[in-house]
Amino acid sequence: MLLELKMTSDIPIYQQIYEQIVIGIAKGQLQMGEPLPTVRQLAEDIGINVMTVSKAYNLLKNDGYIETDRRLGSRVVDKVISRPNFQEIYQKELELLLATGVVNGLTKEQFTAMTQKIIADFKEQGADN
Amino acid sequence: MNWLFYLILIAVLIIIGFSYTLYSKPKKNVLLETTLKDEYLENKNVKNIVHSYRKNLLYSIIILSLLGLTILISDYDSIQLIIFFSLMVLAFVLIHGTLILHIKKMQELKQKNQWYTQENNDTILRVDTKLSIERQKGILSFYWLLLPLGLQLGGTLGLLFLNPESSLVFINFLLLAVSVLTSFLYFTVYKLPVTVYSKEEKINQFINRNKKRTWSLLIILIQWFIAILAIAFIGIYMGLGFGSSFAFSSGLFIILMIVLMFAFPASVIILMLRSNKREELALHQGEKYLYDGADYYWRYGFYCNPDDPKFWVPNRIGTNIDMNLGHRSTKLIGIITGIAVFALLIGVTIPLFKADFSNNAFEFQVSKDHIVLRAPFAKDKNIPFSDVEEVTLLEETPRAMRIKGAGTANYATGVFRLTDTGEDANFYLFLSSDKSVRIKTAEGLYFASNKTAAETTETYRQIQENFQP
Repeated sequence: MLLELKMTSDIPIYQQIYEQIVIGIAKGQLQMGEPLPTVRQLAEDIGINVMTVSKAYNLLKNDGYIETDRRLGSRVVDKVISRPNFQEIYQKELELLLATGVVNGLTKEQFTAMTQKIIADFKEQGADN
Repeated sequence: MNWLFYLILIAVLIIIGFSYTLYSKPKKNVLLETTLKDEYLENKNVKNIVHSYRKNLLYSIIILSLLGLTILISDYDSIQLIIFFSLMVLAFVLIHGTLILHIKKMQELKQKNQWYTQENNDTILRVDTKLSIERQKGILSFYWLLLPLGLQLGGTLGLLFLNPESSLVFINFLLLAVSVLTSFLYFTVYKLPVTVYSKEEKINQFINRNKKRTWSLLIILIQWFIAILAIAFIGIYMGLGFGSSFAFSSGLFIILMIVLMFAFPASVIILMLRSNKREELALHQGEKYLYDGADYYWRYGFYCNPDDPKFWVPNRIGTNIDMNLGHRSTKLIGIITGIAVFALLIGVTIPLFKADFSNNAFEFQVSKDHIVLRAPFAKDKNIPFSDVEEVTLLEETPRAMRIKGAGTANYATGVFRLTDTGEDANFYLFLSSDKSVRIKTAEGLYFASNKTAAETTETYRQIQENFQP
């Protein structure tokens, strides 16, 4: 998959990597079990510190999206197994996201339309890949 | 010597001219450093600017080639070298000036017509995870470098064993050092980060592999070029050692040099053109260009982006790679390179100037009880009269081949091997004097002369007065 990182953005690079890999899995741009570059390879290709990539990979590993093997390197897991308290955490994050929408004047209809479009996008691109 | 300078100048001008023409060929929608949408690439005004750029480039090269003829007029090596370096600087100013002028014209045209291509100048770095995993694919094996490196090392060591005094040993060690440095370049190419040009994986894969292949092939070519040079030097030495004529060896060497001088840039140009064409074809198969916000950071052929952490960036005009001038290491490298070039310039030109124009650089005279011999690029020598076995006045300069020192149109100083006898002798000769003095001692053979034949005859007379056979 293609990672697009904005070097002048306020969002930290490790977070951009994390978010894009998760979206990549959802869209099917990254297949289940697909190998990923090593921390060093990715850091050299982007031109950033190894620690930054390592931070992103550790977050992805903790959240169950990727796994790392000393011999085989990193790869996307074969099946994402949700953490026991996943729904609880997800609901909290969604709450914050909805709150910012409400504060900024987003209506229920607009929110529903947006979510449906994003999910349709995931499905469509997932089918293409 | 001056013809060699002129040939090098022409070869360099051909290479510069060729690489600067690439700016006028659209690559990834970048034409004369300006990103233009497909529909504007064929615009009449755009074409006019491109035409004017190419025409001016050609004129600049013709003017520089004509100015280069002044190298042939001067008899002094120091002047020739200064003209050569000045022309190199002038070539850069003139050719790069032409480029800057036309980039400005193109950017003004884009602004005037509001042909915008992007909203902001955010630096976007793209990485393809699959490409990153197979980064080394396409590069030619390091084993290809081992044979030329081995040949050079073996030859240099052999020469060192045959004659450690020869200046060819120094030259071959220098060539070997260049080869080792070039081998390090191989590892730079090996570790070169992959770059994303298109949204399509296969196109990125093809271009990155093509780049690695071209660059590694280029390094192998350089190694063979150096190896052939080194072997030619050794060949000349061996040829002389086994009695073949000097004229034959040196003639062969000059032919080889001329062939290499043109074959090398020609093969580099063909290789680069081929690679460029392949990349261009591949890019055209994909969808529209991927804008990376880089227009703002490319300024007149140089890339300077402090927000981009990459040190090496792919050049937008060809298969080349460029340094990011905004990277902190580049400043240090720039300073070191500047100092090294300046030191080399001073180190080479000052001794040549001294030899050409200083009155004190050469000395061949009789002192109280010894003969004084002094010349640039040769060891100072005081020969006591008691050591002298034989002194002869020669009517012509001896024919010989330089082993160590300097042999130019005006003087021959240092250690030379005599063509007739194969003996090594120390030369302190002004070639403006037809006559020269041969001095034989138990230690070795010396040939010396003054600036004119009359002065040489006078010094010979003084030696004879003091010399008791």
